[in-house]
Amino acid sequence: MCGRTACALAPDDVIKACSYKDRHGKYKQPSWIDAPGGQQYSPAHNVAPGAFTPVLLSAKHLSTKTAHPASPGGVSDRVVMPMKWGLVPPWHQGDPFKVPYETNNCRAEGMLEKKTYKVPLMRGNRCIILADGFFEWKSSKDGKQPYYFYFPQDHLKSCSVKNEVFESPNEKIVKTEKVQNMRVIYEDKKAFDSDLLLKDHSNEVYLKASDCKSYPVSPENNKIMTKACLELKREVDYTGDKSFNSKWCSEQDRCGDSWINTCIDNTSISQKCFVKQEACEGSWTDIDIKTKNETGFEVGEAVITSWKGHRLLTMAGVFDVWKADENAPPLYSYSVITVSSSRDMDWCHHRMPAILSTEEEVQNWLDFSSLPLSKAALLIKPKICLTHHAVSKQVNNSRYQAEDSVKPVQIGQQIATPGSKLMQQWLQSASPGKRKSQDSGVQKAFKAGGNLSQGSVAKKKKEKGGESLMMKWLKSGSPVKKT
Amino acid sequence: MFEARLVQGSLWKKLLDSIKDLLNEAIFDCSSTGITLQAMDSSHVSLVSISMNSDGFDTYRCDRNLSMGIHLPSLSKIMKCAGNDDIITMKATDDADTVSLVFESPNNEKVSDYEMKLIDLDTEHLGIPETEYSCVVKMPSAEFQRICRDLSQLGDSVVIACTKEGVKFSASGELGTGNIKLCQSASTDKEEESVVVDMNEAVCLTFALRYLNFFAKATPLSTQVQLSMSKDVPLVVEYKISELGFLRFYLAPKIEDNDGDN
Repeated sequence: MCGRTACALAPDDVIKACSYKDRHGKYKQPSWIDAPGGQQYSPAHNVAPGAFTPVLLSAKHLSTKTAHPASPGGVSDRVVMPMKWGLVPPWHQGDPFKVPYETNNCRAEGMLEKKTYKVPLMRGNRCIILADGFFEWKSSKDGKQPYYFYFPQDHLKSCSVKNEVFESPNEKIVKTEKVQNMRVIYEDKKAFDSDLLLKDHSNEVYLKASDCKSYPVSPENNKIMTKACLELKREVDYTGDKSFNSKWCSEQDRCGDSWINTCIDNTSISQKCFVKQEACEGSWTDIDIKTKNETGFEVGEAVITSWKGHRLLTMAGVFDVWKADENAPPLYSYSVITVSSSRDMDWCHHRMPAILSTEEEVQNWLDFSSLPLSKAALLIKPKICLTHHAVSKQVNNSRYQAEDSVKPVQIGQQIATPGSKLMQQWLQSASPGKRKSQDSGVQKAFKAGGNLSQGSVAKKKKEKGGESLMMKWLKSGSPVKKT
Repeated sequence: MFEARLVQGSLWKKLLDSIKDLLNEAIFDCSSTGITLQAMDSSHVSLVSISMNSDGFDTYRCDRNLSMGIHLPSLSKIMKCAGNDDIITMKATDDADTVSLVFESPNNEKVSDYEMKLIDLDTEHLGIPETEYSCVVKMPSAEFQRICRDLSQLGDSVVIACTKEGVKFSASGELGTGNIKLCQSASTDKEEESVVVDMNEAVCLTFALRYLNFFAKATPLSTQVQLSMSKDVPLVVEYKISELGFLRFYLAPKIEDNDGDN
């Protein structure tokens, strides 16, 4: 089953995250199309069926009727459109939100037999449901514990980004090649200017320093970056190459929270370099590089199109179109196809959504005109491609929308209450010597408990009342020993 | 080799029944002097301590100290398979990953043999501080169970106030308040029905009834229960297990401004 997802990217970022290489190796972005009925997709960390969420589909489904804006890099053959989660079959009458049976999920085993799904599938209504991840619950006697499943986000950890090389400022060529990979590691912003260490031969630049925690993506940061660019430009200079391109990745040591990838394009022709940083919330920075020639006209423009942010989960789905009456705008709605769980997920639940884990699979599933359903159906199978972590039980309520819905929590770790603290303190006051080795064990356990409780949710406010009393009691020396 | 034979097998049954809801798993430490168990509940607010003396068993043998990690609900299930009059023998080899339980009916007509898997548990040995208590109340265990049950109708927590005259349990909640006062029994013809208060200093403490109700599940073990209290240290609720030893529950008092989480 798949009954709850998270999808928190803004429409613009969703299409960026769906950028793909077309047959000619060109990066393309799907275009965004609003739902014909005007329903809005609202990014959320806790999405339940009934909501409109972005769905990737082939543009062929719409091309005749809807003109869609050309995306950067030419007309795309894919579009993203918000659709209602929960398929409404065309023959349904009445309120589309009151379909008498559940259509949030479509069991892969029966999708080619059940009329609700067979008909749209035969018509080629295959789509990809986009989400940051999905939630699944594991039931135990202590209630249901939600887990968040998503694609491993390994690429966020490494900064090896392919370089886009602009061979000539007059040509709009995007070529992927490894050229000069430069890496800037900030360690201190103060020492930024003075301590510029350059290891030219290895093409690695280390800016020595000590603190990079406070590096928000801010205008100030931009300035610093630019300054560094200029600095570097002077240092490196142009060593005879007709064009010299470099990419900087500035890395923040904080868990890839906010990466800034900045590209500077130094050309021997144009000495000007424009660095435009577009910071988007969370994890991702997109950069447009504009090169200007001597006359100042903008001649080349390119977009770095490989997405560096959160890799969106791509789940196979089936959609259908429903109309209230002849003239009403069509309502697009979808079902997530589910399969029995792969062995890395069956500990949690016996069903999982059908994940399409590679670009090729995505393409094949979408391309209904070239790949017949019989073959496409083979793509639907359990896969081992997800990672997961436990999340707060607050997610159980679909109205809970806070950002920490997707944040990992420690489960089974009790929240330190005044009572448990008192108990621990009292136990630690056990006469030393008698149980020395054991005491240290207790202490350790206590410390661990204390640390872990920091990460757990909804703890703070309760502790205050008891804490001062506890502190007083502790300072007064353990009453245990006073007699 | 470990082997402990207890003719009064029902004690094992009662013991397991009284802790299986509070603890999920625990380590039974077996040594030549007897069996001990110490464990905290999952919220770390209460602690269970069991001590069973080797002398209390009919035969007892423990060549090497042995720690058995036991999933208590499982052991409780197996103990339920024993009749009330059965003789229960617990056996384990020194490096075993299972413990075996033999139930013999009194006339030796039936012998059942169960083997249960042990689990790996992190040993978190706890030292229990020796504490002098301001008030020690002895009262019939059934009475204590009744009071806890009755007062939990009214509220989540009980205030136990102990003075020379006796001990007062009070609870309050949305529907009102309730007070139960027990006086020291003047004449003590029947020891098991007496209420005895031994007091150095009056105390008044608040406890979560949820836990006291868990503790009161041990009532069948003993006719009397002993409550020991001091300000700002955990309450001790002790049940004697005939000649074998004791079962003690420790519960941290509620601290003001704490809204019923413990």
